[in-house]
Amino acid sequence: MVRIIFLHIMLLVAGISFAQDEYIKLDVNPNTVEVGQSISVSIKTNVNGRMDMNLPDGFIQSGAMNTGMSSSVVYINGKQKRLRYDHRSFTGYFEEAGTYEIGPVIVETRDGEVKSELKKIKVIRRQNMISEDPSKNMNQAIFGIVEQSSKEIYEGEPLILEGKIYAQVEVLEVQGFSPFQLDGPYEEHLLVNPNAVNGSYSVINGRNIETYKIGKTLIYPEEIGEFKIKPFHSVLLFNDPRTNFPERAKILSNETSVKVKPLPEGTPQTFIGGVGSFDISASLSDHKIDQGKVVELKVKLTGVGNLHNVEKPKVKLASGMTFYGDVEVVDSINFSAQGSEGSKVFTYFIQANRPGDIKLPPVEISYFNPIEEKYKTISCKISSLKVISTGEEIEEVPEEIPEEIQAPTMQPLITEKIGKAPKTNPLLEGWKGAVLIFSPLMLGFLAGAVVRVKQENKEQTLLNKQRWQHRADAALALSSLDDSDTNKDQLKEITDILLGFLAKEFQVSKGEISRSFLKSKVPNEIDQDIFDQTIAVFDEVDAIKYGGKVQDSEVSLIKEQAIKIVKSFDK
Amino acid sequence: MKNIVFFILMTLFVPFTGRSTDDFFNNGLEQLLNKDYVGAKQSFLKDIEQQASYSSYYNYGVAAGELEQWHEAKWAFESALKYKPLDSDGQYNARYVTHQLSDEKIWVHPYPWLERVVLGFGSSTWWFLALVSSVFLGLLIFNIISKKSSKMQKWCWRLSFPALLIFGISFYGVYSINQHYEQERYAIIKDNTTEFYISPNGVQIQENLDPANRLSVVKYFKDSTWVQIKSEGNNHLWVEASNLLTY
Repeated sequence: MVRIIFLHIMLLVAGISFAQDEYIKLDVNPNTVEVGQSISVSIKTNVNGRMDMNLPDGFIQSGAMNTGMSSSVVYINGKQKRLRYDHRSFTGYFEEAGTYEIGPVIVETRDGEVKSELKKIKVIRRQNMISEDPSKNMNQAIFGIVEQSSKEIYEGEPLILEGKIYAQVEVLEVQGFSPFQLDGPYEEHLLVNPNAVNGSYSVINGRNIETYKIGKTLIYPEEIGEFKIKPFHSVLLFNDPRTNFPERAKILSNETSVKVKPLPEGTPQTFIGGVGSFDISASLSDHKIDQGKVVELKVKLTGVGNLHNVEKPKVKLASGMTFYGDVEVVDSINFSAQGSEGSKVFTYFIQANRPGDIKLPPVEISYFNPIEEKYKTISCKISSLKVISTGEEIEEVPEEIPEEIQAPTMQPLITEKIGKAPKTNPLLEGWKGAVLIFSPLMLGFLAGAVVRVKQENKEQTLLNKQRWQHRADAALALSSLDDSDTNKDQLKEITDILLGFLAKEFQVSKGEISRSFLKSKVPNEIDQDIFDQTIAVFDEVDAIKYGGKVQDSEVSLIKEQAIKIVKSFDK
Repeated sequence: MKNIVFFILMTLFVPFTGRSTDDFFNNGLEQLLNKDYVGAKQSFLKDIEQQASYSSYYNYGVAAGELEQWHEAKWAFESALKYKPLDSDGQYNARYVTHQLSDEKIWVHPYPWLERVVLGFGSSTWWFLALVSSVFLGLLIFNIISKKSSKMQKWCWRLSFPALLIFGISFYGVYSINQHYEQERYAIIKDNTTEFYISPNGVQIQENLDPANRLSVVKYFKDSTWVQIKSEGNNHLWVEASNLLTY
């Protein structure tokens, strides 16, 4: 392809050339390059004809070819002679190490061939030929160096990379820049437009060198270990002082590295993954809410470092409070040469299930300060919350179990004094308490017994009175029997009165009074003598009544006997 | 006149000079929030001496736990459960510190479920029930004894059984609660260097107890300077009271 281009170009210019001393010069710069390093090839000739050039297969052209003409008048042996030259230049590079031959350039004329000399190029493996120290690269017209904020950083700490191009020639245009690349996982944030160039001068080895800064990038390596930072490359258009023609060159910077160290041991429990410098503040959306309502706790984290990657602080809740829903995160973060800076606000929704003045524990976080190389713990207090009781039992929303495995810790402190030991009265302790509890039972028993006894005594008195009365009545009735009545009638009366008396005495009906009944009452209720006398009276009455001796019998004796029996019950 | 004014002012001032019952507790909270765990422990201990409560023991346990004094923390959390045995935070922390003392130990609630239920109703409830049922039973007894036979007496007999049942249960509740708060039933060794004896001041015995073990207090000796404890393996051992935390 390259050869075809050359052929066409040469055919076009062949017709306008003037006859001059044949001159053809091939220039290759530099002679020794690293793999991928740019080589500038330029051809200067005054020969017209078909031009051919031998280029090795491994050569990769970068950028377009520049062509031009120049003419001058020279005096040779007092004669004025006009000279005209054609210029061509292009750049390219090799991807494999080795020794390559470029050229010769051959121009076929009507008189034959004109050849340039052969150039040898040595391509070596990338050996970081560009030193980090710009003063050691002054043998090159243009070179680039990777500038980095630190050679060693802690995990999570930001790394700033910036390309710096040193030019000892007049740079006309910076045409391209490839971003930095690390040989491991990383997160990058371009701090400037990749094509933006910031020019200035630096004094190196006493010389004023033009410098250009390009591609400032913030990098967060995502692993621990040694990271290689691959060289950046850029294409520049510059004014070649040898030819006074614009030339294009690809520059390749040095290769560097960064060591990412793990954070030291002794990570605090409240570590949120922050590396840098941070501050914390917290506030409640309301200081007085009804029981069961939700209050917002805003925890604001400000600072610089890896703010965008920090985790939410672990907020401890007082007893009777639960998280309600997920935590909302609103951040306002800018990426700068310090890292990510700004603020991150975490909003926790907390449901208050218990009434009272509730003190929330302070919010505490820990981060690692890479300058002091130690963990720092900071905290902020939260004003107390007054929860007004609604008198309802609020069912606590169970907190979602976070996916990540967290080391279990103790439940936080309790701010309200609950579960007080019951104040005991000495009267309620031990045997005194037992007496107190049992006293109503005892009182009921005693009072009941007293009432019962009293009632029984009263009944007995009444009964005695009644007995005395009917005994008196019976005795009176017996003694007042009319003697003028017949014996039969008197005996009948005596029997009736005696049976009536006994029935009342034993509180039964007259019909129940029999000899066997009376026998059963001996000796508890009646004496044997009285029983015998009573039976004798009844026998006598029966003998008189049914023995046919009614008219002849003396009834008065029986009557006296009956009165005696009645009176005997009084004893 | 001056004396009278001075007396009135002093009388007004007296209520404000007295230390509030919650002062020690609030001081302890402040110290706990400021991470002065040693100071917090002292404050909560004073509060416990003044009036023991679930919160005082619990927060004492939190402070001891922060200082990684797990024996004391276990004692405090289990003591807290004496006052609020159904509280889930107290149970969780007691389980947590037990696990810190011994990975293999499975924590079991110190108070059986029946006692927890009884305590859950509270002392006042049982006292109220006991007194009301006692009065009611007294009336029933009075009626049964004082009257010979009546319709009301029949009803008194019928009601006496449920009344007697309520009275029995409530009396058991009162008795259990009194026993619960008066007795020191359990003990935890202060540290792993505690020495055990066969008898008070007698022969020392080598006993490798699990530090997370909860020991049962059997009896006290010599003005409570020695305590006989029963290990979970039913071994009876004597320990100096100063080496034990009892509750």
